[in-house]
Amino acid sequence: MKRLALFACFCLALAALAAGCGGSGGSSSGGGEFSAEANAACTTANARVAALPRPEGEAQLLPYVEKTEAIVVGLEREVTALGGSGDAIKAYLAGLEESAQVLNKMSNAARSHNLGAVGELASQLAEIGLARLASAAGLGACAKAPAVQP
Amino acid sequence: MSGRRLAPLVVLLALAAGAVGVARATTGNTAGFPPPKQVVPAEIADPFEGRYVVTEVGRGANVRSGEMKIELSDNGKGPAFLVGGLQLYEYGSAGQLEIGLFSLYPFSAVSGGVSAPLLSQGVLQTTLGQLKLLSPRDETGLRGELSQHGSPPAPIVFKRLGENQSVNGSPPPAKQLKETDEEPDAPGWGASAAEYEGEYELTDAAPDPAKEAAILAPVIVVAQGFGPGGVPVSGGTMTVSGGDSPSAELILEAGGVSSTYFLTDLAWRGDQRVAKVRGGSSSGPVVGSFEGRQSGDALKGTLEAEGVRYDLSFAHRG
Repeated sequence: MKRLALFACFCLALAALAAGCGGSGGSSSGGGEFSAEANAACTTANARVAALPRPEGEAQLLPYVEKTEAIVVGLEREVTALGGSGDAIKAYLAGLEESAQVLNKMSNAARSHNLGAVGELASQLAEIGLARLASAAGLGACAKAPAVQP
Repeated sequence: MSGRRLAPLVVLLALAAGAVGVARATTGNTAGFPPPKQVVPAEIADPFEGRYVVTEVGRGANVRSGEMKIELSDNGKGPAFLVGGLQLYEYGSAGQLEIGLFSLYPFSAVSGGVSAPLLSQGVLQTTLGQLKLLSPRDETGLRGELSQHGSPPAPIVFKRLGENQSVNGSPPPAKQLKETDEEPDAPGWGASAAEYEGEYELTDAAPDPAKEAAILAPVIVVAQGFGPGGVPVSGGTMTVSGGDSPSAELILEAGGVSSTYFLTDLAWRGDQRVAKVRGGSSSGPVVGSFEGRQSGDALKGTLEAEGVRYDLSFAHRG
């Protein structure tokens, strides 16, 4: 009877562990609940970015970049607060943080009408590879681009 | 000479005797100016510093050739500020060549670059015009607009001179750019519809930089559209139709987004090809323009639409 109880405990522990493995690539992510909430946060943030009016002139560039920066900063805080763990999650959060920093530089460049720097900073953003980091963290919705209407 | 130190700023340029009918000229006096009230921020100002020669200018400016020097002066009394000198060989009313010497001061930051009035030289400085310069896309030169004596702004292009380069006071004639009355106006993109109708395939498709960017994809596309290289286009096709109202339907893949534009009012002159760009349909609102040049079956140009610029190269597949 004692052995049966131990076996049952072992099975329960395995089940609990399995439930906690929501991420991919061998990294812990804090559970399926984390993934679901992080994906929901990303979906909301993507919708907010998609709703931003596309700048039709340089005068509209700065507010566009600033608003995108605010959304990315908010997303990073929200996902951080969800308490995910594991290397892949940390890498994704670091990617968001770096994105926010580059967007801040881009805002400054747009403010001083330095469009050459704006273009260069766009390349830096692309090099972060945020979708790849999100996929590695098992956050499918976070890997998607906002559905901007042309 | 330190790039940020005010150098001796009156540079005598030995003119080739008889080349323009004058013996000597300078790029103008740029010394002795006090710090302006508004100083152009260093990140904008620094790339303009250098010596230049005019390579292209709008015909309406009546400029044959010219040189320019822009320096950063720290003057020891505050932040460094831009000051420049401009020497233009201009055609007078009777067609004779005259020399115009101007100081460029004070520079101010404007949309896309800097601007400075053209000041006459001497005790009583008067403003004779305005020079706007766009922030340089690379190290090779500058583009801008020159207006003098109340005339409409004319495009002007400068080539940067190297440290040891000199035109010996005799800058070569600048290419005269066509003015607006010489814009393409013949309908279509060629003398006959058979020349230009059909399918066009994009030949310079590039990897999509926003493909792996997730939430950042839109801002990358927008920012690259404002940058010097435009938005990299990862794919695209264009179908051009002739008839009474030649038009084209253009599908572009950029930044993970497929955009369809409708080109109307197709017009041509020589190798120039232009069109209005509409959104939604061929009768939709005008959202931009296309300007290109045809060379054989190749059509290279720039499409600007909704604040985004695309550099495009097409091959006509018939």
